[in-house]
Parts: sequence; structure tokens; C-alpha cells
Amino acid sequence: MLASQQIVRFTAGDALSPTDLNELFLYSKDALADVSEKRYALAALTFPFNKDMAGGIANIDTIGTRTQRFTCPVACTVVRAFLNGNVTAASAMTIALKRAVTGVVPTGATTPYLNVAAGATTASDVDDTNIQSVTLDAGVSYDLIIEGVSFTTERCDVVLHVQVDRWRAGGFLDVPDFAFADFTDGLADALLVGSAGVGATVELAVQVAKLTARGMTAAMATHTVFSGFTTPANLLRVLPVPSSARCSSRIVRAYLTSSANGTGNTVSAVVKDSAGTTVATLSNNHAVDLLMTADSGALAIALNGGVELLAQDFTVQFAATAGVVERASLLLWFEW
Amino acid sequence: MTVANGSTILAADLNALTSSSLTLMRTDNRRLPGYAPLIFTFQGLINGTPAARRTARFVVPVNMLVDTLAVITTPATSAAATITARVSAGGILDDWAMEVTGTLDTIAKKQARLLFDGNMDAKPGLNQATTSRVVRLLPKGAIIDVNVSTTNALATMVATIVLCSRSSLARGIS
Repeated sequence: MLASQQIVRFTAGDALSPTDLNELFLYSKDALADVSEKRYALAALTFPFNKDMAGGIANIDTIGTRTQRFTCPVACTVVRAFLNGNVTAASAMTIALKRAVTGVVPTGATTPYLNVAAGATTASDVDDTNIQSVTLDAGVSYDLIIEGVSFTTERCDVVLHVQVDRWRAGGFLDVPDFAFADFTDGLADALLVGSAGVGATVELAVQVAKLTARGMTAAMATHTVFSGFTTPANLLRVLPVPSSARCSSRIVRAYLTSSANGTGNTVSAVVKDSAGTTVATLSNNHAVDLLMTADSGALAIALNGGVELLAQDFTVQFAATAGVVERASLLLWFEW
Repeated sequence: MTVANGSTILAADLNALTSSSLTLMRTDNRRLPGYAPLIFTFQGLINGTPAARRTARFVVPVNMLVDTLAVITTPATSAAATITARVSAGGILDDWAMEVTGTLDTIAKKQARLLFDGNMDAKPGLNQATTSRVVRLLPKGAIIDVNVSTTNALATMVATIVLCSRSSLARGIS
């Protein structure tokens, strides 16, 4: 919070006392400190470990069905993972967090990452929380894999609270340092700008530059178990995208992850804005790999309107050319 | 504001410095609340879906001021089908559950969005008709249950429940 709401005002002809000057800079310091409280932005990513309302995921399902892959466009930290579900788990059911392809467990992640103890012989509510900080690299895909010898989910959601450091995104990691002693009561001529005064101005500019870094959040659309024969209307998803002059958000990146076991099967997702204009098209050709990620590259879809608007409906049209797609997910990243 | 070493500082220079720094603070987007849509998908939701599969739970990562609760469905549903989404918050002392309900049609397209209209459980001792709110504060750490039910019998329907919220509260600067 601002320590002081008093604004130093100077009027021509006033004696510019060092005390006033110091108060001016201290006010700027307080204002920056207030902004600094918002250094970290949090996004909640929800991964549903279920197929559809007709049935959940079981230990006998394929790795493609049991894996949720995701990518973050900036380096970030998972500060909490939360599992809640209704499952039957005669033996332990676990969630692993690994780097895609290599299978390397990211720094800070435990093994298993989340755990449901054995013992539930009938479907029961279960939960688990992991508060270890896990570092995720920018642009790298990670897998959440549900594993176990004998389990069946009715529904099982894993929520990751992802923390983005705005200052890191802005390229500035140092903490603001406002220890102004540039103007002292003993200064002979406080009305003249010395080199120290210029330095203070530069420092202020550097700190303000940190504010240009934005927080991030994400929204995900997903569909499970479909093929090239599925009616397109049944593969249409809606992503509400809030738009407001107050939030000034924009879409900056999209990732399509898919798992498909049909050789040569191409899974695609077409993202359209509320006016029906295509803003991104992504596809994965599963000629070799079961699990794949497509990156839209940098997007700059401004969402800020001139007035407070209701959420716009962006649509995601999934499609496949052949075979069975176990899961396709479109992850849309916003800056705000 | 431009000053050079050795030049005399004018009162206007100092005022400009103060004003510009404050303007930067006031207009910076980081000072404003960010939106964070939370989306829950219920694929193949029908009238016979067990309750366990119709309920999702999440933990609120930051204080959120929910100003939009919407239900969006695709594509077609059974004739005269209805859908109801209910968002309740365990662990909150005074839990006013939010509820959205509406009728769906059978046209194979994205259906009209159903929006929260302020229908909440009555707060004890108050008249709900005059005290309903269109927004709801969900404190950090609260456990939220999203439950959905329908009379629809077509398994092709996908219900998307959306909570649009400001991820932090404004501080009187707009």
C-alpha cells in the first residue's frame, strides 16, 4: 500500500527545500513498491483426467489417454498443484510431472507429483496437494501422466497454480532500490541538478520499465476420443475471452497438443474470433509420434475494447483426418 | 521533462516529474485488475450422468471478483432440454452459491450463452429478492465446486462452464 497519499507540489517562487525533494522521490518509491506487490501473476490451469461423461480414465488406458501435455510461453513456476477427483483406486493412483520426450522430472517436482493412496474399493472423493515450487522453462512441453496398477476415475481434475514473474519476463530481476540521499539539507545549492540527480531519473526509468512486463493466464479447450468421422459440430468448443478497457488483455500464443494412435492422422484446431475470422490454425501430423505439440508462434490479438465488454466467444474447431484421437487440447495464453 | 547537469531546476520541472511518474503508475495496466477465465468442460453430459462426473473442484489461486458466470453448450440437445450450473464455495463462512439455469434448443450450433443473473442462495436474515449480487468475491484458497446437471439426453452435447473474474481487486484507480 502507498505509505503516503501526500503529493509534493511545487509552485514557482517556492524555496525548493531538500526535504520536499526527498519527499517527492519517496512518493515515487512508495508508488513503485505498491506496484511491486503485483510482481507475480498467477494462472490456474485445469487438466481434466477423464474421457467424457460416459466413462473415466483407468489404468488400462493407453499412455496417450493418460497424458496431458502443456507448454508455457514464458518461464514460470508451479507454486501449487491440487488434485480432486472421484475415483476407485485399489492400489495407489499417482500423477507424474515430467518433461515431454525426455521424461526428465523438472527441478523441484517430487516423484510422484501427486498421489492418491490405495484403499478406495468404491468410487470415493479424493484429493492431494503439492506445494513444492517447480520451475518450468519457456516453450518446453511438460506431461502430466496419471498412473497406477488398478484405478478408475469418475472425474479427476489436476489444477496447477502457475506463477509468472513479470520482472523476469521484462528482463529485470533486481529489486527496486530507493535509498535516495541525493539531496541533503547541507547541500550548497539544491536548485542545481548534479550527476546524482540524473542518476535518480535513470533509476526511476529502469524501475518503470519493469512495469511493461505483463502477467499471464491461460484458457484451455479440450476434446477426447474422436476421429475423422466425427461430426464437426460435435468438435466445436467455445472459449470465452473477456475484453475490457480495464484489463487490456491480448492473446499472445496458442498451443495444440494431441495424442493419436492412427499413423498419418493429422489433428488440427482452427481458432476463430467472435466475428468468425480465423486467428490461428494449428495442426499435428502424427506420422511418428503419439503425443505432439504445435506452436502458433507469437500472436498479438488485442482484446481491449473502448468500453467494458462482455466476454467474446472465440471458437475452437477440432478435426482429424483419420484414426482415433485420444485427446486434443488447445491452450490459449493471454497477457494482461 | 528534460534537465541537464548544471541547469536550474524549475518548479515546473519538478511538478512534471511528479506528474509523469504518477501518470505512469495510474495508466499502467498492471495497476488494473486482470481477467482470468476459468473453464470447465463436461463432454457428453446427459440426464443420466452420475453426479461424480458432473462436479469439478478447484482452488482459487488469487482473490477473484467473479463478474461473469456463463454456460455455453454445443451442438444440439434434446427437445426442451434444460441445463443448470451451480457454483458453490466450500470453506467460505457465508456461502451464497451461484446458479445459472436455462433452456436449450435442438439446433446443431453453438447455443445461446446462459449468463448468471444474480440468482443466489438466500443469505440468512436478508430478503434475497433485494440483496442478490451480480458479482461474487472468491477469496484465495477457497475450494470451489462446479456442478452441472441437465435433462438433455443426447450424448453429443458439450457443456462449458465459465467463470470470468478479475484476478485482483481494483484499488480505486481506474
